[in-house]
Formats: sequence, C-alpha cells, structure tokens
Amino acid sequence: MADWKIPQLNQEKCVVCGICVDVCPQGVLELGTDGLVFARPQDCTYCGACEESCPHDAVVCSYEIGWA
Amino acid sequence: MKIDYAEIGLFRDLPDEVLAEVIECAQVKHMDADAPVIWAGDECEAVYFILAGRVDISRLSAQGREQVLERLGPGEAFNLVPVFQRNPLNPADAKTVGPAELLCIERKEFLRLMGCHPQLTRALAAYLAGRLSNMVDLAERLALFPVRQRLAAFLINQADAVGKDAAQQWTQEDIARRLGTVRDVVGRALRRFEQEGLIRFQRQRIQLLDRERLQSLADGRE
Repeated sequence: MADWKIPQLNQEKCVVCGICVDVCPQGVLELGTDGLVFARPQDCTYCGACEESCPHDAVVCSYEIGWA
Repeated sequence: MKIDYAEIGLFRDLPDEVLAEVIECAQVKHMDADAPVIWAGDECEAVYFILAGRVDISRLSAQGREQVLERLGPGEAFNLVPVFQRNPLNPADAKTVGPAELLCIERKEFLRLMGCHPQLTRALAAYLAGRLSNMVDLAERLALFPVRQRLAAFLINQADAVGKDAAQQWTQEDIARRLGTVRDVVGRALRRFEQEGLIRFQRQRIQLLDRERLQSLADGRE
C-alpha cells in the first residue's frame, strides 16, 4: 500500500482547533498530545472534508487531473 | 547529466557556433523544491532557462493574494523582459514547483550576446511574442470569464496534457492561484461540477467525465 496517500498536514499552520476531527466521516483524525494526527490513515477515503473545513489551510489534498 | 541545449526553445535554431558561445556564458543552477529563484521588484541580474522541473511565475497583491501567471516547464525561459528595460527590475516572482535545474545567464552577458548575434535577438523576439500572446489570453480570462468558465478550461487543459507531460499534482490552492481566485471558491466550484456529473473525485484523481459539457462551459456557451 505504498501509494496510499493521505492529505498533507502543515503543522505550522495547524492551531489544533479540532474542526477537522469533528467533520471527518471516517474518524481518521485525532488530537494527540503532539497535536493533530492521522490516527487511522488506512480508513482515509480522501474525501477532502478535512481540507474544506480547515479555516487555516493546514490540511491539503492534492490531485492529478485526467479524463475518466 | 548531459544537457541538451537544443531542447531550450530559444536556442533551437541557433547556429552551433552561436550556441557554443551562449553556453560558455551560462551557469547551471540546481534548485530545491519550492525555492525562490527571483523576487519581483529586485534588480534584474540574469535571465533563466529551465532545463528540468517546473517554475511558477507569479505576482503577489498588497493583500497577500497570489496570482500565478504561468507555470513554465523544461525548454522555457523567464525574466527576459527586463533585459530590454532602462530600469531593469524583475517583473514577477519565480519559484520552483519541484526540484529544478536552471540555466542562468547574467543580464549584461545576455545583452552582449544579443549585440553580437542577431539570430539570438530574432529568436528572442519570436519567443516573447508567443509569451505576450499567452498573457493577453490570461488577461482576457481574468477580466471577462467567471470562475466556472476558467475552471472548466483549466481542467480540460490539464487533462489533455496528461501523457504529453509528467503528471502534476494540484491542490485547490494551486488551482486558485492559477485562476486568480481563492481556495474556497475553487472547492465550491469543483463540488458543483461533481454534483452536475462533469467530474468525479477518485482518491488522488479528479476525473473529467463529460468533455462536451466542460468544453461548452469553457467556451462560455452555458
């Protein structure tokens, strides 16, 4: 599962507000003692909810664009 | 690494002896990812040619909003315009997207080379004419086209480039900087495209589903 990507987290921008933890439909994110962590990365469906909810642009999803 | 200088558009039709002289004046720079090459407003010291990798050419507003004017790839050149100006200042920021290799020629040397070799000056004029045409297209899109139209055109261009070019990864922020808008607007527009059946999000891919309707949107027909 080498190419199983998860969204990128920018720790410098993250203020640990926890909004993304609440919106993630798979419960992938958790607030740990060192800040936000992808606790269950294997459950991430890359839906983008964390990115859309983050008011500080700390979570970023990237995409290739192509024809189906 | 062996460098094929003929891959640089501006040098392609130069006679061998002129190309040899140009290369003698040039330096190769190895750049890390996301590394600034030049800043807008600084004195123009050199012109640059991309040997490998990509470079974003952008301007930043006083409010901190970035507009990417062009994403340039191998064979293309930047910071050429100030070579001709009396008060030569870099017109825009340039930053590498991933690791990149650049060929760099000092402005004074480049001016000297142009003085000696009219072929180089003609090639430069033709290259700049093409770039000016791209800039006029961009100005038209930013001034006249709504975000949905610009986004549809952008998605088609990127999808059509797959195969001709190395695959690129785009974040919504990247797309927003290209379209002259902000991430939230791009996110909403992409979700609406998805609801309308124009695209599909499939993990790290945005798949385009309906060329006809996307093209119609890009052309401003709907």
